[in-house]
Amino acid sequence: MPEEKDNQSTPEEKPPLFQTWNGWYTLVLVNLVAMILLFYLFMVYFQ
Amino acid sequence: MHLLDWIVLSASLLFIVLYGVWKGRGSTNLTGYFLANRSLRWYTVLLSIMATQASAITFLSAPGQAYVDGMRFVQFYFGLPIGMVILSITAIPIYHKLKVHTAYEYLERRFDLKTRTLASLLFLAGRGLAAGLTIYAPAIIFSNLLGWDIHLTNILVGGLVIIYTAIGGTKAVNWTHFYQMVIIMFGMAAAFVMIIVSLPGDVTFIEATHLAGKLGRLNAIDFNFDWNSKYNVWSGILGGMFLQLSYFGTDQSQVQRYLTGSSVTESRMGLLMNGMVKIPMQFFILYIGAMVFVFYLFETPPIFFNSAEVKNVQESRLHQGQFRILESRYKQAIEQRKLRARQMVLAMRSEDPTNIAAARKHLDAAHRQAERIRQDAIGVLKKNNPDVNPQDTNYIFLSYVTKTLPIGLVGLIIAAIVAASMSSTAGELNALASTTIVDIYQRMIRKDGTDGHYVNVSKLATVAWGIYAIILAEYASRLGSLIEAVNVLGSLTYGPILGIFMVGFFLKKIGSNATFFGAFLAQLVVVYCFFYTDIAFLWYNPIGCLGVMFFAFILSIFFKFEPVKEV
Repeated sequence: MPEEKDNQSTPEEKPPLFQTWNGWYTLVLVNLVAMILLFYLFMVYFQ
Repeated sequence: MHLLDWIVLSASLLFIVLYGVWKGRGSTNLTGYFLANRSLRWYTVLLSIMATQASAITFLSAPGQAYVDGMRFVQFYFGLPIGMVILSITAIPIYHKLKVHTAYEYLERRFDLKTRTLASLLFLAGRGLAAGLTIYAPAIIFSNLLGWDIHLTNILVGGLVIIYTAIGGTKAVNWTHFYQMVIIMFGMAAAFVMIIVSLPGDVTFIEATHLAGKLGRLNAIDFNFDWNSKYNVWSGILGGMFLQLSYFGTDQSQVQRYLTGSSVTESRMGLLMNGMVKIPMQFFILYIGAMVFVFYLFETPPIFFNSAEVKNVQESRLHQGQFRILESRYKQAIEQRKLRARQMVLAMRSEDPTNIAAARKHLDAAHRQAERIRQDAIGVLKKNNPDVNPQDTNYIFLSYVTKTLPIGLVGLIIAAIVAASMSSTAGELNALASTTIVDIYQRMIRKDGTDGHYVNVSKLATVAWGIYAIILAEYASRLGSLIEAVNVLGSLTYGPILGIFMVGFFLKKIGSNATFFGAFLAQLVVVYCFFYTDIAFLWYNPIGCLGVMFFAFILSIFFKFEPVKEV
């Protein structure tokens, strides 16, 4: 069951896993490029 | 449907309603009622965002689209991750800092009351109509395929949503979204496994995927740039990005979901994870449709998946003869296609390129022949009933489910589709109520009410919007072109509304009048594109948004003495 968290955090807090939010933004965009590439390879391979 | 299917369906829906009512109790002010006291973790935010976006039609229509047209629809979502990043940088910190309850509150802080009121009224008009259609669209499909009473379905689904949304507010909506998404994903995964299991025993999963690919059903990527093409990589990334920015950044039904995050981090993580998982999820749903297509290469599909229309023409004295002949020719063409599909599998096993090319050519020809006869049959359906929708895309998946899957699983998948309908409707009613109370009632009608008073009128507003949505769903079939007109109007205004927010976020020296009239001019450009050009729909969003920014910048020269508020 999901849990709730106390409303104590501040906007300045660090993101999980990365030192800055730029790490997360890069990950999301790299993931997009990787998916487009994967879908393309998938399409070509099975054609 | 079998008794066991009804038990699975009823138990799932009852659980959702009771859980929502229990989880949503105890809100004593508007922040509690509309934003769950800003207390939720990112994964609850994520599932709530996804459940609001994915309506029943998403799960009914997407597999059908892949069946008919291949997987190219997945490109529609390529702009979503970029949109999530931009909103994480711009909108989320501002909304959290201002502690707004609705996106439109920001517009008054940054511009003025008229801009806030305009945006909130446009949202109420468009989303109010959409809530009715969200209930109606799956109900008509259930009615045609399963014989359910459409009026009763509308009232039952709408009524259940009203109960937990009105009593529990956003807390109930977000927490039920969590379990609705669990039911939806479990149902879709079960459907996928069953499709693979129901393929002929000697056809492997990889061979089935090859067959889908060779008949153009895995066309997920198109790098060709074409202004008039609905789905390609570029329209998905650019046009789609602006559409998703508008939907997630300015549409209260989504903004309210991530405002429930307990911090900037939780809201951001919800949006960013949505940017990571939405595309694979959509790919998976489309892939299910491609596999249903392969399944029907070895079985006989209905000539038209909307069985109610087929029944009508079969009972028509005028057209039944012609339709029977086409049905008979279709069956022969399908037998030929089955044979060619088998030969294709054997050719692939031989790994001889010449054999494969020849078998593919024959399979293509057999498929085209069957499709030609199907189109002729649709022509007869149109002659019999001029109002018939020639697209049966939305019926394909549910038709496959009800005719092929085992007892119990049918109930689970229908529960997943009804859960999707309820989750979208709940998000919409919740957002309609928050905009009505926060942006209109509390701001302009009664400013000095107590917390208890505002919570009570919010509950009443939720019930009122719910009843309005049900009434609209009841009359949706009679509204016809009016619905289409309002839908078009909604899609035309999305870009300019996003433009107003973008001016607010990025062009900090531009004031309210320049933005307001800039939005008006940009709206005229979008309307011109709609009436006088063939530009595909997705491009209206960047045109509208960038148009507002451009005109507002030019007009700011003339309005240079107007005061600019800093947020």
